[in-house]
Amino acid sequence: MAINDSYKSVFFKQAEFKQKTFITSQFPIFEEKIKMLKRTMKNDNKGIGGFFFDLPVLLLIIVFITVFTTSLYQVYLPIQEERERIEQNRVCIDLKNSVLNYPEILTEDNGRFSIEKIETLEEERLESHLGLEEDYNYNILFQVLESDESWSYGHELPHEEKLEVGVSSYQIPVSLVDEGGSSSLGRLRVSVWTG
Amino acid sequence: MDRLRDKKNDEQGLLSMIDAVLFGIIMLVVTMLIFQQFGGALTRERDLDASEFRREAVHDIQQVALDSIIEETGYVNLSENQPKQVRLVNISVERAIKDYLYLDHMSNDREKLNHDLSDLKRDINLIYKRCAWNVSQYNFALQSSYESSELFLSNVDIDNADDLPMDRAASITSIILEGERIMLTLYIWR
Repeated sequence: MAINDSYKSVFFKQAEFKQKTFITSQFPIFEEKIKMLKRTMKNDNKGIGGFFFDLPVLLLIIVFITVFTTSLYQVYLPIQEERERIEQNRVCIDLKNSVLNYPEILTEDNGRFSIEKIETLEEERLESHLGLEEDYNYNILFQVLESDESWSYGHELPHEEKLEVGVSSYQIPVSLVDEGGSSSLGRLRVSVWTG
Repeated sequence: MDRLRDKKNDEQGLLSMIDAVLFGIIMLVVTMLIFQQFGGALTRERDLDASEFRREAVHDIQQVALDSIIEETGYVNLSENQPKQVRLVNISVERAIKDYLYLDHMSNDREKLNHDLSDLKRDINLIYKRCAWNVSQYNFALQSSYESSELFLSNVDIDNADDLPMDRAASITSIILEGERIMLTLYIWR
């Protein structure tokens, strides 16, 4: 064991000497740096040492990491909300297209919305046609502009303040045809939200 | 006792620490600036997303407006000695636009023909206003042209398409008038 240790010691010293000679011969400027690197804990007077000196450094590092993490989180949070909102808007537009193409509430001849069919529409059938994902709630509103008469399906609209992402709401004009065949301008509003 | 340092070495240690703190502060400031830029990019993304709703809405509004029925409208024929009121009943908006463009072109093209089309234009505007503004809360402008005639109407005080805001959506629909394809462009914005 003693021979092995001695052998290792000589080997490393030779290697260190060769390395130092090579570096200092090629780059004399590093000679001083190498001397500094050879410091031990015992003679390390130039660096930071000692328990009472390490404590504030540790506190500073903790403060920096906290501030950094907080600012990172502040950026990540809107990204996550944005993703959810984009997805929610996409669902809202898909839902609107499903309603516009639902044959059970359209007139047979010209494809306008029939008030008579809207009035007798069963919510379960509408829901099965829409095929909305479970995560989402929806509300569909038909409204005649002139008379303010309206029909609403789905869930009751929540207060926006209670929601993280808010409500995606899309409203467009539609033609509503009554029993007599006369057409009037109406509003179709499709709202989608989560939670 | 070995670890006790003289005053000079203590100052060097403190300097290293101040360097580290300054470096840390600079890094934090730079990082926060980068994050702020990133947040700004997100806001722009949100605007783009809002425009997706607008792009979708402009087609729906155009489709419904063109199919809407004007119950009663008309124009005044000023070509004869006595001005003659012409009534149009239950016509679609598409038909009203065609009539406007054709009669306006005829008035411009032939000296003897003259029409007052202000009522017709007002009623077309009224339908678009109900569809775009009253229902969907979008400002709108409609533009079309046929030969020498030009139709431009809006719910706001704009005279031509050059004055429209950049942040808008457009839907172009083609209709046939006298065998010629003409383009009808609807712009909406908020």
